Amino acid sequence: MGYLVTLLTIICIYTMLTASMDLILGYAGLFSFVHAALCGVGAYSAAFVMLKLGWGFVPSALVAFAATALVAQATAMITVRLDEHYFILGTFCVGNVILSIFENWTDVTNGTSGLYGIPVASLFGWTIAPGAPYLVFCVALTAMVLAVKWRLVSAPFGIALQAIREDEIVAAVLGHHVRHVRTVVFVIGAAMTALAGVLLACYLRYLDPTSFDFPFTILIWAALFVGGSVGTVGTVVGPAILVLFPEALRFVGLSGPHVANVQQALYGILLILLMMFRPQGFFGHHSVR
Amino acid sequence: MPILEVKSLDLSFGGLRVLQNVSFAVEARTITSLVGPNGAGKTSVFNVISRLLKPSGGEVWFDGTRLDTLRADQVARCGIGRMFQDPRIFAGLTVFENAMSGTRLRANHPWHALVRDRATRREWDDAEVRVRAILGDLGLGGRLDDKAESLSFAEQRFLSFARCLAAEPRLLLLDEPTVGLDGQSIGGLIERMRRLVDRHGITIILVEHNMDVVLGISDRVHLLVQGEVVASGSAGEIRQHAKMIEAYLGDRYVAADP
Repeated sequence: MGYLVTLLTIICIYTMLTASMDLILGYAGLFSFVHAALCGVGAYSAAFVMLKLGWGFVPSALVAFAATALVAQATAMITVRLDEHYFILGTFCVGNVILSIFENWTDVTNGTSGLYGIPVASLFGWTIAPGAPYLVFCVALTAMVLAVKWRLVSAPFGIALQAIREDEIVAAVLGHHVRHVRTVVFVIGAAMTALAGVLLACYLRYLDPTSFDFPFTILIWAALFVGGSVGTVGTVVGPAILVLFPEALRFVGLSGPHVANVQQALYGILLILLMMFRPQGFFGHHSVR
Repeated sequence: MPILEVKSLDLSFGGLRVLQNVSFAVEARTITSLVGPNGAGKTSVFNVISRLLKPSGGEVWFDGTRLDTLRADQVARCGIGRMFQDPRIFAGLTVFENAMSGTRLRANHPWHALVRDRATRREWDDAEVRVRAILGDLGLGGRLDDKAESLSFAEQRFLSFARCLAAEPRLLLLDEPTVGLDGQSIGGLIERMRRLVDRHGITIILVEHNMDVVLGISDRVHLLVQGEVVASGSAGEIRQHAKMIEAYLGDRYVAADP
């Protein structure tokens, strides 16, 4: 039971990250390489005020929102003016800067040793116990994020995002301020990753810089590609498949010293087959080029 | 009082002078055509007006606003619609979404998209009704939920026209709208352009190779050769200059495009 709760909690947090990636990459077409690092900004800033100031979940989450939105705004100011490939490179660079801050600003982040002893989440004086109660809390917040995302993209704002993704020149000639819209969606997406970061911090109760390095961003990309971008179902199914797939391998009796390698290989094969035969993912409406 | 004034426009890329001292004025509620051989700079004039290109010299004024110092989206918000030579529809979106992308609503703002107060909702509903009517009028009413990439070329062109109209422009820049259309569709398009001008008070500038269309519909025609305006006049006057057009453009130009 505890094992299942653990898996579902992780799926929840990944869903939130994938939904935010869908907003930024699926709808707006921005290949952001800074995703995990922004999640880290949220996680670290919340953990810092929880540990040093003893704040509860809500004010810490608000601090995380503010800090991440600020960093995302600065990132967007530098990167949204760049063309596709340069945008990827630009966000990669910013991600590197953020990671090295995690590693070196020891007064706040405790460097590579990481922050530990992060308290469990508490809401208005009530402690949310680890395990099933925390899972329910995560499900509720994830549902909220998915609802916010759906409301954004089902409005003309969502059409404008996709128009810009498809042809930014035509979108501009139709009166859409391309840079502004991109900045706005990037910051909204970053705020969602911040919330995921806070949940992750309270779940792991330990943070170090390697929690937010580039493989994590790539994992979220993979979750989005597998589940399918531009939609809601895909952002839940993708993370579920990526989390449950290795676990399923464990149950079919794979064990021994090579199991991790076999898992990685199967995982790679799954992604390649998917790209070949269903580039839009299982539930996607748009294949990310 | 002209609604659009193009004053001594210069445009060069490096050493290549694309436009040289191009000036013309467009009266409101008229159809003006720019004609000329390939490479004469007709599309470049459109690109400068819609501010996709920054002119190296000269000014563009629209109804009291100077356009050449604005961004492309600001120009569009002044009420200028632009149709490209290729339909350039948003292939991944539905027909309806394509047309809706031309509208500029409060709900384009994420906050209003989230909160959706009554005023936002009403404006949005009205826009949807209007867009459905536009699509219906252009024969796309039955295909609202189809992906735009599934449309035929002619339908895509009509869709890009619908997308322009959804923005309720006051001035429309149409770049070769009849290319790739059959005779019947061309007739339909001409009729609609005429109706937009006569009933809705829209002003149209047309870049067109089909001289039948140009002479049939235009109030005024400017002949552009190698980046310069070499002749201007009413359709009748330009018809008198048929010899000159032939000299510049060859007799192939006078014949309708297939």
